[in-house]
Amino acid sequence: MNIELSAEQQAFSQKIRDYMSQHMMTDDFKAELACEEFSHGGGPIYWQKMRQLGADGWIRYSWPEELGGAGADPVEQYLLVDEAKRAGFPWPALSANSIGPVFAKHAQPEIRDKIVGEILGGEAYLAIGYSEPSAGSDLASLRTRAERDGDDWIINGQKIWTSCANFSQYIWLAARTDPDPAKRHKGLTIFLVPTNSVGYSCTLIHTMGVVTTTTYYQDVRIPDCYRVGEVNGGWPLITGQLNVERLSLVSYGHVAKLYDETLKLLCSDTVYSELLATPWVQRNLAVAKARLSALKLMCLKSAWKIEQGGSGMVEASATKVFGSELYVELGRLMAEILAPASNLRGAQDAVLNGLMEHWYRKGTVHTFGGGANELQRSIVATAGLGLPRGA
Amino acid sequence: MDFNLNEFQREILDLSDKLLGDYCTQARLRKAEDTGYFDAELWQQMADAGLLGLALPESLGGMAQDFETLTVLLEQLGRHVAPVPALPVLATASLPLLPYANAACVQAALRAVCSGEGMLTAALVEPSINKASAPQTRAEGRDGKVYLTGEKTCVPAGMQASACWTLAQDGSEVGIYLFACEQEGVARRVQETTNGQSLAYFSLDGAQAELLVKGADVDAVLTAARHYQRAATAALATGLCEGMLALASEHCSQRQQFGRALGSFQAVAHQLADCYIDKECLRVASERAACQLRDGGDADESSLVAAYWATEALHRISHRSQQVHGGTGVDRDYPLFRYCLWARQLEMDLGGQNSLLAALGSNIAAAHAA
Repeated sequence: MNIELSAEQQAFSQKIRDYMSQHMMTDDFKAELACEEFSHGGGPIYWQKMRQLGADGWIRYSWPEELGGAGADPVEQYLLVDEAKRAGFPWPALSANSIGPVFAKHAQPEIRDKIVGEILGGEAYLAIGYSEPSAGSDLASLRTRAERDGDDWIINGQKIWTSCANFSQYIWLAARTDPDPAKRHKGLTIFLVPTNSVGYSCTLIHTMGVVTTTTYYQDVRIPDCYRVGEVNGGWPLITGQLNVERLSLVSYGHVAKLYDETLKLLCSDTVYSELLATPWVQRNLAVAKARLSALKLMCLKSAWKIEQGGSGMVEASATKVFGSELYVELGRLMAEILAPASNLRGAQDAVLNGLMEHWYRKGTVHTFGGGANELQRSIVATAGLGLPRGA
Repeated sequence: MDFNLNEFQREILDLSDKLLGDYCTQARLRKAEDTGYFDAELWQQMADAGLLGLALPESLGGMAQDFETLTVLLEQLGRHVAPVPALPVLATASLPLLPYANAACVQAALRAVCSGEGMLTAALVEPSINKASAPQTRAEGRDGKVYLTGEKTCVPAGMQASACWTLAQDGSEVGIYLFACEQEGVARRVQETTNGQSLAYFSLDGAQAELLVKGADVDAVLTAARHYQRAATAALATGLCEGMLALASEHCSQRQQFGRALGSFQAVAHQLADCYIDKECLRVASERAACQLRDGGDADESSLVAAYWATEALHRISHRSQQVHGGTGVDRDYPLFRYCLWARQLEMDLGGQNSLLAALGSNIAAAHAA
């Protein structure tokens, strides 16, 4: 057994770390990301960086070779995203990892090459239109309709939590094409809806942490070539997202950032010496360290399992639950150390450039986003422990 | 990166699983409870199969395998709640003495471990409540020989051990001494402990001993003993947790209430999912500590983290496993209780979670002082 990354893998991580700090996370871009409006991307510098990311080959990096990618293995894919997120870069996970390659595989030839080119070049981003006001975890109950009209489809409905739609060129939309609600997941089809379509609109939702959107589809007419995959064959495209993608949601570097930054602050100046010598502070640091150590290994082991040809489903679900709850726990453990200053906002007073304050506001989504932890626990119970399915 | 066992380790796994499957039947385990939860026949079988010398040098009758391979055996011992003191004898007591294996008395003790003719233990606890104090046991030289006088408590495998190493002070200098347990100057009485194993209370009254180490090397041996104890406990704990979770999953798949299997209720299933996550965290932390100790270098952090996860997983999984079993789980005719009592034993043998976190936290602070 060898639990360390190979020399090549370590060098790869270092290369990405250097690339991110030298070329991506420039001061002007950091300043843009600090604006709430652009915190997920979408600002002018964001698009410059995306085009550079594409030109340098990183968006295509983990795509399969037959789809124009570099065919990186799941461990490299994990390391790439881990380093990008550790650096604070708004990694285009949907186009680079989860949706992009699925689109390239199932899109119709009339539109495929053009849009794949836009995605790989960092010129276009895809937002996911799955959730609806009355369809969250129970996605198969979604009601947005797509009806055939000659060579076109007419789409009507509403999506919610369509993150990044405010700056995306396309919505990866799940719609009901069989009106019989009893068909549930067998009546769904995927469409790629250009956000400049007539009848499409988008409004912002200001959450306590980040900005997301509601998207509306009123008689949106798109040609059949924008249908992805078979009619009523959308479900496998929705659920077939790689498990490695789920890992990326709670990747080690992403979660450990607050611990790393807090510790860096505590050893930056002797004014913190007394704090660092305090037993309960040391205990908070120790709990964080012990649990983060496990997260790092759980992530890598899951990616390794997928690389070995396993599905990694149980591992990814277990890691997602653990990592997202650790994210929340860590926000408390670290904030306690600098409390009450940990809650301060604004350039003059915020601790760690606001990281400590907004960790709590942004972190709560992790336990339900990307598949609610309740669903992940049910996967672990049935697929990991062989328990019978619930009612 | 490769989380697979190598071919030899897989053979050890299969061999120990088979042997323990034969010997750790409910009937035999119940019988072992009458003898301080020690199955002497199983111990000798393990010796004959070469398992007791797995990580000891060939020159002493061992197989000269690394620590990681020993953890494969330890996990299986936990999986079967085997009634043998492998953890204190093979890991905590034996491995820290390997650098001193040129001493004749160490050689004899380790040779006896390999063959099963004797058992080596370490007496690391004195009755004093203050854990940090220097040992009260005194060493005195007379006529070119050394004699120990003092008290030792909670000595693992103390009633079966043939040799024991411990700390004593000669004047103001602390040293590590090895003594034979069968001698006039050693009186031992059995101490019963929660998992049914016999510990021993040693009264040393002029016990003849040999000085192994003094000065700065004492810390090196004690540090090694702590690292091996922590990492080995994590491996054994991984097996115990696998065992508890297998019982709980089986029970919740079979047992019907309200016309449904218990495990189909989310409140039950999700508790077991959390146990699965704890168990996997323990497993990776244990694997990391084992690899670190195998490869050399500083194993302080990795063994502390592994021990933290052992305390966390053992506590949480044992209580949740009991909870989903209801009364069945506490019945001594059902196997779960043995796992749970071992879980409690190991957790406290590690000194408890907060002492581990205090040690880890103080290391972090020391490494990051401005």
